[in-house]
Amino acid sequence: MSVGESVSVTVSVAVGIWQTVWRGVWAVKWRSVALFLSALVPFGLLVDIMPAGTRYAVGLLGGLLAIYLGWSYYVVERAPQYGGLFGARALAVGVVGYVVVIIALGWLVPSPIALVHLGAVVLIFIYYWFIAFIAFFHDQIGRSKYEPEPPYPSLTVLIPAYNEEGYVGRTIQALLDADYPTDSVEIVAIDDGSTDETFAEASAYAAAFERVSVVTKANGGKYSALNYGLLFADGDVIITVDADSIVDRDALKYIVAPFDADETIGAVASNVTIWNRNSLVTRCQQLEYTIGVNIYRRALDYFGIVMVVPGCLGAYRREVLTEVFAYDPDTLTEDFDVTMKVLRAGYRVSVSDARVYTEAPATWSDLYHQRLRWYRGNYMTILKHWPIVTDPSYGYLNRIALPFRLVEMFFLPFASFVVLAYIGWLVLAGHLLTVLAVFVFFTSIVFLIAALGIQIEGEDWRLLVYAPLLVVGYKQYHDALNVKCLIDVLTDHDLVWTSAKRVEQTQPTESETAPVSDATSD
Amino acid sequence: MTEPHPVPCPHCGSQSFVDERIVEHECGHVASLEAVSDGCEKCGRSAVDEELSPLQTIDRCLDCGHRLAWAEAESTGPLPSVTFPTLPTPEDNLNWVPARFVPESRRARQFFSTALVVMVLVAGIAGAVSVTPMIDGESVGPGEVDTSWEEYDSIVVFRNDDIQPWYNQEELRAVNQVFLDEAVPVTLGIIPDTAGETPLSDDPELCSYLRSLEADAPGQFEMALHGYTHEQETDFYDGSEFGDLSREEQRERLADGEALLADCVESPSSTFIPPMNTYDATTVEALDEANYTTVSGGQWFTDQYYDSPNSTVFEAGGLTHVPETQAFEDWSAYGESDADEEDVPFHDFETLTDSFDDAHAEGDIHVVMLHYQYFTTEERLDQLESLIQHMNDEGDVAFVTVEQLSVGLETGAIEETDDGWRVLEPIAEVTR
Repeated sequence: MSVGESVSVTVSVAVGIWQTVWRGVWAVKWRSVALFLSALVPFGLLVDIMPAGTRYAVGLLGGLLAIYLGWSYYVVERAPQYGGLFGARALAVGVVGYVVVIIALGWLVPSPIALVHLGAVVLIFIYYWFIAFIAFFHDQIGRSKYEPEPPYPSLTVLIPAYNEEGYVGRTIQALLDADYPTDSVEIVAIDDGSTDETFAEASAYAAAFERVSVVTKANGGKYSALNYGLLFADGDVIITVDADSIVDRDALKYIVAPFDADETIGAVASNVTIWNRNSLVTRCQQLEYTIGVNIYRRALDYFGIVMVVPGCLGAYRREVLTEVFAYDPDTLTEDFDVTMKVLRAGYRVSVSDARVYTEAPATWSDLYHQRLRWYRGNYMTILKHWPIVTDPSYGYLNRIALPFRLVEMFFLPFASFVVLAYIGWLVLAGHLLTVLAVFVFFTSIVFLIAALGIQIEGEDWRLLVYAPLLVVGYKQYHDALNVKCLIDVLTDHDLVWTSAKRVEQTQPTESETAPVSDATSD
Repeated sequence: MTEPHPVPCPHCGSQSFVDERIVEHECGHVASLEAVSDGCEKCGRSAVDEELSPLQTIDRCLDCGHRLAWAEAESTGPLPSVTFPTLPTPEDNLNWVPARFVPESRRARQFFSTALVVMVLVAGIAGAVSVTPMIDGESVGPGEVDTSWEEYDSIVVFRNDDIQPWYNQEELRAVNQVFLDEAVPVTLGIIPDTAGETPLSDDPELCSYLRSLEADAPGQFEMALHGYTHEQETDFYDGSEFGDLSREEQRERLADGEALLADCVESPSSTFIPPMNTYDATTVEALDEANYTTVSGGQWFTDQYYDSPNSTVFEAGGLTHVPETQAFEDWSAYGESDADEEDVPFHDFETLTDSFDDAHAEGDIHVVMLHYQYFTTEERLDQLESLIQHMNDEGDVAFVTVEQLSVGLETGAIEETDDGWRVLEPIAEVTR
């Protein structure tokens, strides 16, 4: 090889490397990186002003959790034979031991306030540096970008509808407009004994389009309507759509894409977007969705354990739904319940880029009714699936998803009120400025998390205005509701399906609460 | 049952249909009545009539099993008119920006979005940065201090004077260890430049030791300035370093000493301890100007100079005066005897306990002065330890530093009550 040749080889190799690096640099989503890393500043400040004891305590717990997560990854992916060792229960014991140790070492003065404070600080750290990191990483490597490509599987879309006059037609029309091979879609609207013109409205579509059919039955609740609708479903994939939701044109293609890519995926969730963003309460909800979907769910998606396939739009493999006997009557949130059943049957549950638009409750009292059902249903579902908490054979579900969920449902709502009481005391004791400073501080962290979610989703930057409400106001409203719902569930109140009033139904139906669910009247 | 059906089966074209009764079992399972006749497939229980609710009767194709969904073509009207609301999409996220500000080209729009992200990021960081000093300064972050009022019969302050480089460092550590063991706070009087020859900067080991005390036992050791050279400069009240000196000279000594102490310890206190326990009104003025809150001399001196104030601790010239009420060492015996120059004799134990007992009975403030360098034997160290234990055995005694006492009285965290005192604990945190 002559000198000239070797030089030209060297140059071409250098150019090749340069091109790879350049492409890599371009592929990185730098805005997300900047937003993610910018949180180093407030966290750095937080560490800086912590008393040494708190710093050690946070560090020790962080270490404990890092070991737990590392170990969980190892046993689930590599060494299932050790699955029973150091599981969720051992973690709970570990945390209790940890509290004893830090009190003994004098890092923590034992009092409810100090415990809640430490818990809050630790959770903020975990939330950001574990959950947000995985979500950020997930977004960077484009894990959820399952590209839809033919052949497309045959679909049956189930639309359970109870008194959805004025809505169900639009839902069907959006599905008809969706970009999907028409001979692979069948749409089944299920009229759950409506007392209005729902059946007639849907029937008009059935008459006009061969791929639409309508069935009707005695009123029995959403779970019952879905189970009934399944009897008429011929497709390989079952899609469920709420009768008040509008699916995006590309939604059907995107929501089935993961099934083709991964055999073990049993169900796929969608991205829920609120379209009526004309009030404070709906914009707060959109920000809540954006953070919940993009930060929290992406982290769970990484492990294939997305915990709720939303009723607005979700997809299931038909044989999986049949295997778990579809929907059960015993909770108020059949979407969460059925997702748990799919997960327990050993399937992965994933997110997709399918988008669905929904109308969010537009007043505080409507939001109250919606969340009353959701939160009661959440507690009922968690209690129903309690074996996951104790059985390590459920892998990530047992080791990661449930511990997080339990803390979120059973610790945070109560901690919120201890903090509130403490803040009240501080204000009365004349530390108003400190309280304001702390508020601004935590808002800035939530602000950055929200910004990351908005950047990932390409959402509206104006939503950031509502970040402070996610620290004070909106947050306590939901915490209070959670506490109430937990008490309701534990004292076995008469838990009926409570629903929000609809903006677009000019004629309100006779009762706001549908006559449904005899499950809890025993 | 098998009469020709008006609509043929959409799957196989057959016209043979059978009526099928669809029921729901208690467990939520939905199936045909026929299918549950042998028991429910889902829950495995028998499905008797009471547990079944009928949902609908439908037509099922006899040939292919397809269930006919809908068979009443005649009952429908025209398609309802459907209007879609405006749906938000990621593409029009800049809609809210007035059109004239949104750049035309794609690249410029990207730049615009990036600028938006940077603004958001800066706002978030600026928010956090700007309030941090407020959180830090007040040091009452959420849950950091859990305070409560505690009742005490009396208050005791220990003041350990003459901390200086090189000299009897082992004794210093031994005395401090007694306070650490007994968990009693103490005010350390530190000489910044002993005899004008040994500045604190000469002994980094002492300084790092003092800083380790601050870090490891926060709030327990108060780092107070004890004069400048500790040399007797005037004959003011039988000897003083500050009293009777000119205003300018007093200021200079104070500033120089302050600078040396600030370089040595982490957080110097706002207490000044004048050598020989004597100071004049000029000293107090200079201290007030330099933002000191407290001066701690001797009660024998303040009783004369301030004409017997009616309480041990009093306010004058803008400062709180916390004079020493009981010396550990017996200075009169030292002057009289020709004994060993090195070893100042201690008061006997009884004198010390009696003095405390009197103050305790009165619910008074008892300020004990000691000099670490004379604790050269185990017996002497034991005497200090026994005194503390005696105080603890006697009743509820609040142990505080000079600064904690002065700031506590000032802010109301320490209050006199009918039968003693109440203190907002932890006083070290509250008065920080």
